Amino acid sequence: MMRVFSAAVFLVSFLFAAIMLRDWLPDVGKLAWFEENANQVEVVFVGSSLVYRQLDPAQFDEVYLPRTAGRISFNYGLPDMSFLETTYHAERILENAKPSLKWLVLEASHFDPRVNSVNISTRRMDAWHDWRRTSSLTPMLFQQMALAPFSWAPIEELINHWLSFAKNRANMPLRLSLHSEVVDEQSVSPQSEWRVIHGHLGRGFSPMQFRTGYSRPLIGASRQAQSNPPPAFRELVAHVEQLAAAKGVSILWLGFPRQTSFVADDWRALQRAAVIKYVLDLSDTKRFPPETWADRNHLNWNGAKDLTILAAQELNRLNTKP
Amino acid sequence: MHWLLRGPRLRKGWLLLASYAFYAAWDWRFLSLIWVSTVVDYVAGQRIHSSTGVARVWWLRASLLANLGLLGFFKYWGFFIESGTEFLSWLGIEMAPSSLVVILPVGISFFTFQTMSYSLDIYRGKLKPTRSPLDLALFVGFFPQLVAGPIVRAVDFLPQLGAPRFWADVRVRSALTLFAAGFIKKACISDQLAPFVDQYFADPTLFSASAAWLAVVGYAVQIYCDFSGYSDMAIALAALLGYRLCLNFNFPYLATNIRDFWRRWHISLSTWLRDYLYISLGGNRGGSFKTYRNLMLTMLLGGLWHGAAWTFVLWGALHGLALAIHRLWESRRAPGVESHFLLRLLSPLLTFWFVCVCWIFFRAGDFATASEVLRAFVLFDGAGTQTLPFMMAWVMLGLFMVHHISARGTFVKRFEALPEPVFAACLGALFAVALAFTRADYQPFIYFQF
Repeated sequence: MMRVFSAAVFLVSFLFAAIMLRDWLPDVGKLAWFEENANQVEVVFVGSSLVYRQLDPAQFDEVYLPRTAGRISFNYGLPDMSFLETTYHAERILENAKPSLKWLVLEASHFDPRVNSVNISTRRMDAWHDWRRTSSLTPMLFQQMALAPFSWAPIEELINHWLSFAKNRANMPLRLSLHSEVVDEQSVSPQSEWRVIHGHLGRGFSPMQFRTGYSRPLIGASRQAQSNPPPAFRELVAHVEQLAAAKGVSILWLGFPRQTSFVADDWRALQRAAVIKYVLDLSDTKRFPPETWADRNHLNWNGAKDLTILAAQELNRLNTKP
Repeated sequence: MHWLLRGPRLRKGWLLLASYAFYAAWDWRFLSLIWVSTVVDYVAGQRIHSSTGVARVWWLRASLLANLGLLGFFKYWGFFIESGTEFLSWLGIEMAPSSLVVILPVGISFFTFQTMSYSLDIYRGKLKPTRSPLDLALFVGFFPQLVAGPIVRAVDFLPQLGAPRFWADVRVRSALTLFAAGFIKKACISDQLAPFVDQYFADPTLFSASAAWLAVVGYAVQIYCDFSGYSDMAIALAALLGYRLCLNFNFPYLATNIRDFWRRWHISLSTWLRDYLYISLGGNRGGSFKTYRNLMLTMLLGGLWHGAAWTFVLWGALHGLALAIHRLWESRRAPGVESHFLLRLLSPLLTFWFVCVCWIFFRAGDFATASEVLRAFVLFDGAGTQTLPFMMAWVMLGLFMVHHISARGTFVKRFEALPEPVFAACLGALFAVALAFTRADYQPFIYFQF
């Protein structure tokens, strides 16, 4: 009996310490920089590499018209940010929103919450940071296990998630990597490419062509994923929108080029149902000729400039709309 | 599951299946090597015991040949072919390099040494061969230590397999504490230092001398935490299953001389080399020259055991040389000099510094890289200007203090003596902290490559 009681104590202690730690551990790199400088940021981009490699705040600020003097845009993108995490960070930004914040530009893709050997080093585990996301994710994990009862993969994924429970949102290895730092130009990160990219980091922007030794194919199938937010995720969308409305902030859901996961009709349906207000569909690849691509999923810096301008023009249009 | 099964045979069978599944998860084809080694040594063991005279020697030779043959082919084929080709090329004889690429099976250096200890101990009369193929198979394939040690001796392990194991005898708290310590060493320390060390050794010419110091000392900490962390977890897992494995590390960086270091570092290997190689070569029984020769040979082969590369051979040679010099000094020093205050203060530092110098050859992929690092580390002459985060120095200083305090053992004893619920609560919190500071991506154990 004592052993069972001790096991329960172990579990409770683990959960309690993990939750405490996640709140106590400080933000690192660009997230910390944003926390300190949030009062001058007017537009924030949140999402995966589609965001931090393709939306250039410096370029954006040149085109974005109603910008108040001294106000800037900021790229909050992190590698492989899942939709769960995008909405998590959006909520967090909104909860601590400063009066300067007017727009959140959120990536409308990356719905697949799986953590596997391919993405475990790039994903953070924000799915476990609040009950809303945990309750969305847990049934999906068990559903996967039920669908493949004799497969090791769902079990491995469950372990990956469990092992990641105690991690803070920065995911410690990324603390060391290129995406974490914004201001500390003197230190050297373990990634040899970091310094090269770092020189071009403009408020979290890392254009693709500055990755050294980079040779991912330009052609081939783009990312295959779910086509629209699953039902559980629609509630997240609605919640973020409500929170934004309460704070006087607008959200633009952005569908990036070559993202098969973006189906404009689904998002238009959400728009018609008044779940969301604004959506921008840039998934049409014809806008971006082959010479503007760095690999099959990301534009090079020239392409990123074009994309950024389109986003800024859309916000200009929405800002001037009566 | 293990403890739910009734009867020792069922439990051992289950453990053997689990061990084979564990190895097969890496590559099932190489299970055959473990089976070959097991069958050969089962037969050879029986024959060595039942034979006399020349036949006995031949059966021992057959066992050694089979095990060393496996090790030699799978681990050293490429090395010898490449070295031979280079040597012939140096002589002016050009030969096409072999196109045969041999995969190094995980843990082959460990399980072949274990099986050799079985045959050798029977030959020396220290052990009777086991009649149970199951016991021998489990001794060879026991999963906690199969792929990276500690190198278990048959004389230690087989008697445990023959005796019944009881859950009541398992010191659960001690095992869990040891497992937690091993996990923290590996996941929170070694894996976090690895990126910095890797970055430095990838191109040392970019870095300053201070970075060289951080990287080399960082590697010393990394490899210790990596390897001893694995050993701790292996010993803890075996303990939870009711088996006792030998201690493999005993605070090696507190060693006061190089001989002391080898009594504390990878103890299962150093004692194996001493008992089965150094003593077999004659040990210190044939006069000074032979003693030093045996010492050097043992360490050279010990270096080669670690990896099929000349940098490992040099690493072994440096340690052998240091052991020889230390032995010479021991034989000639004035009595009582070791208790001198200055010597007591400096000897651990000097020993650690020398061990770090040797680690340069262990870590560097080639002699050009090693000489670059050596110049920066020993002569403070770094070729570049880049630095590594100085925070590493503070972290490592903290780790050395923890290392020093842990050596007294009182903290662990007090931790284990806590009331059970308090112990469970502390352990839960400890795992939460540890997991928060682990790298999410998988970092293989350094010694898996050996």
